[in-house]
Amino acid sequence: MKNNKRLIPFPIIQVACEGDTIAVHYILKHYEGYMAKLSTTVLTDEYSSGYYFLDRDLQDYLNSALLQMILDFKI
Amino acid sequence: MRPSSFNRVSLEENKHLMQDDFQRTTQFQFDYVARKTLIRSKSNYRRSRGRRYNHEALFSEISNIDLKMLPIFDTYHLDSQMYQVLSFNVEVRNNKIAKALDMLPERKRNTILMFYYLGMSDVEISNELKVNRSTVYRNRHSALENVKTLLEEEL
Repeated sequence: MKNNKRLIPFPIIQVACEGDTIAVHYILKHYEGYMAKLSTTVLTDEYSSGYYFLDRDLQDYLNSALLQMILDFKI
Repeated sequence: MRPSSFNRVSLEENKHLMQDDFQRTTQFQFDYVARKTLIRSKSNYRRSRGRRYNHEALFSEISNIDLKMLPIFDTYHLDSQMYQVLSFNVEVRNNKIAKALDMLPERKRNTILMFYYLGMSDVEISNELKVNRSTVYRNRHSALENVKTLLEEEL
């Protein structure tokens, strides 16, 4: 495990699990980049040049999954 | 000095350290669960997309016959004219024909409704109305003529 990993501060996790809006927003913001990375795919056309394509549906789906996970998380 | 006593440190001193350790563990756990959830939901999404893809078809690729089966038109009884003949309710869908039928005398209208909408024969109609069979035939034909002229006038 990398030691320099950016982690969410403990108090924020604590209040987010109880449904605090600001904390939940902080966590969503924290994983925004990761979700964007997961939902990005490279599409190729007939000239085999690649395009980055961000799947909005997948992004929304991941967002809701993360929200569900935050509320289900038990310390 | 025994090695075990060498390592022994009082609990009070280490309480904040233990707290720190617990918090750090929770942080890592949270991060792990979050990332795992995201990756799993991504593959879930991909799989459900793939499953749905087998049942999808482009509108342009559907044959014309199949496409005609898709739309549904509602029918409202308010749009059509109702007539009562021999305790049956006869529904006339076409507005123009209903208008023409309204103008006919009742006897002729009943003949037409019975013959064309209830599917009765001339003999059955003559038995019902207690008139001669040829009278029914004449009535029907003159009624049709009347309807024809009425419809032509409208056009």
